[in-house]
Amino acid sequence: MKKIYIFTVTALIITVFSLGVFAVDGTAENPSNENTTVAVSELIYDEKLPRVVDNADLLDEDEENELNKMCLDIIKTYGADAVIVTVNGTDYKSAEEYADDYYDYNGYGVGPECDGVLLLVDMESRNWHISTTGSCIYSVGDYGIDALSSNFLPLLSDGDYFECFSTFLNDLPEWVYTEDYSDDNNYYGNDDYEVYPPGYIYPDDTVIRPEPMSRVSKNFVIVLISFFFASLFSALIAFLLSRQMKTTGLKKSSDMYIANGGLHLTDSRDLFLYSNTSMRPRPKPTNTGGGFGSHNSGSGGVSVHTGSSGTSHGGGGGGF
Amino acid sequence: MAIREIKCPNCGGYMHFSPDEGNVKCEFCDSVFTADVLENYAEIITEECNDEQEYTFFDDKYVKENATVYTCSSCGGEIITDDVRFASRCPYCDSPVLMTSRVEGVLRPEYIIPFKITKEQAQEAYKNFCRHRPLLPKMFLSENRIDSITGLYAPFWLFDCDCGISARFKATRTHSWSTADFDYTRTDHFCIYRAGDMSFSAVPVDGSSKLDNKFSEAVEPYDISKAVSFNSAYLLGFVADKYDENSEHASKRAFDRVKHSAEAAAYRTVSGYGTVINEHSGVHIRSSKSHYALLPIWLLNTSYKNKIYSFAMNGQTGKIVGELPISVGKGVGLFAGLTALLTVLFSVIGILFL
Repeated sequence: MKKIYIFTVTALIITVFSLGVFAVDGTAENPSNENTTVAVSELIYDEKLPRVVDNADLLDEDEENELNKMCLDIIKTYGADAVIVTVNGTDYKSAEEYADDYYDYNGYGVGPECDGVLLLVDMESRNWHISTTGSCIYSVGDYGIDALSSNFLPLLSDGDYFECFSTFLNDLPEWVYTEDYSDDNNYYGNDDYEVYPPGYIYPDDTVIRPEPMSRVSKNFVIVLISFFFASLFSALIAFLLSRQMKTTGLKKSSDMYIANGGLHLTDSRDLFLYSNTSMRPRPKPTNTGGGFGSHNSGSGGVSVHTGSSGTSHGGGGGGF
Repeated sequence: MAIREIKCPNCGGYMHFSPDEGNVKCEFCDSVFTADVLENYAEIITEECNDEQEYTFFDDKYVKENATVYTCSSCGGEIITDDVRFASRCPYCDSPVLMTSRVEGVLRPEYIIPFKITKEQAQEAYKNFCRHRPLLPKMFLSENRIDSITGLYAPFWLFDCDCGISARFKATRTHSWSTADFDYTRTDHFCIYRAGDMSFSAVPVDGSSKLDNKFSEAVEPYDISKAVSFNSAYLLGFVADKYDENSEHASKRAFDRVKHSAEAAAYRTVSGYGTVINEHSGVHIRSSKSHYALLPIWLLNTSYKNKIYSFAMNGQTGKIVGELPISVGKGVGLFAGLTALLTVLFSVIGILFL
């Protein structure tokens, strides 16, 4: 009886762990068939995606079309993607997360590094955010974010949305166009790192796009987490059961034998001794995107972060 | 204590009057106190009392009577009985040796609480105690001899006492507020003093070194109001033990428990503070009386794998305590089985709903 018991338990545990065999590597080698990519004069980007996504309905159809055309011109001329997204609320994500994720998961970007810039405007919290990817992280930099925003912010605050976005798109080329830095003009003082101009094609051209985790590997993670909590719970049960096996012990007090109604206070003094006061300065909210240097010579302080897809982004934002 | 000998109420360091501040300052922690505060503090330090016990021990007022005392040659445990059948197995160490006997003068107790729980009830309670124990080794149940459960009158010293308690605490209260630029926190420090009287009645301490205190105290409380004057007729069919720890020795244990209760009672009178820490407490036992009594207990000691596992039941109230061995094999099996089951359960729920 006991042997059967042990055997069943062992078999169950082995089965659970063998589910891991089905885990598949998260990164795909080829993009899924939904995104058709078009190679136009050596640039790889998805032409079919709308570059102006006006969910907050700030623009009319003509304005949208004109801005969309401007974006595509920027792509063809300068090799960097330009996207404008307006929303009413960002679903519990920060503006930065929303902008980064929108860019990554919808497949924007030119070339293997997905170079490009996305401007997000959230009408609900009145926040804007610029997300840069690929070579644009460094060409725009923190300084570029400041420069761009100082031009379009007044228009945005005033509600001149079309003017705001056209100003942004007119200013943008200056910031996304980069020279070839692979040899002498190396920003980073690091000979190993090379910056490729936007749209550059690698010799063996593999496009890497983030893909949501396959279902089987997600299930494996669920099983793993279940195992963790299950063992925690079982350990707790085992511990509680073993504690019940011993109920003896000394008694600390003699509260059960108190007579005459307990403690009769004869003297009670609460004496104030002294006082200490401490103070702490309150942290002030800061605006992101501050940096040093111009876009031509050096960007020692570009802030870069990694989005949920694993792609790095630069950028900054604020309120309006 | 003169005020010159008072140390800093915060850190215990030396203090001096500071002409700049116009107040007394501590050299170590820089706390500043007014003269009035220090005078009040000095009063408290002077008045508080330390531990002190005034017991009168009446062991010699008890009458001695002759009785047959059996001694276990294995563990030295002693029992008093007129029935030699009880002397075939030692109730303390469970060894089946016939105990050696002698006649001796033993103290006649003042009180006795007669047994209210029968042997059958005690055996039933023991069976229930061992039932439904997934971690109990299977061999344990078959190895114990439930018939040899012993009804023992255990010797106890019961202490009545009046005591005075004085307790000093350190307490704080905090108050926070904010302005546009700063968060402020003010901490006020207090010295709390409480003094009072408490009475205790019949604090029991077991007088047998063979009966471990962790059993005799675990089956408490006994309802002492049901105690009667001693009459040896109650002993018929049961076994008794005589004390080998006198009341002076037992009073130390009683003192620890009384002090703990008194400190807790004083602590409970302090309210309205954020933190309260006991700095000093003293219990002064002013008058006390000790009574020698026999209290009923059902005892079963089982030896398993060279260790003794005991089961004790309050012979008056029926409260049971005991120790049981834990089977490691069963424990691991339970853990593995439960983990596997729950993993499957959680995984299914997770996969379906996530």
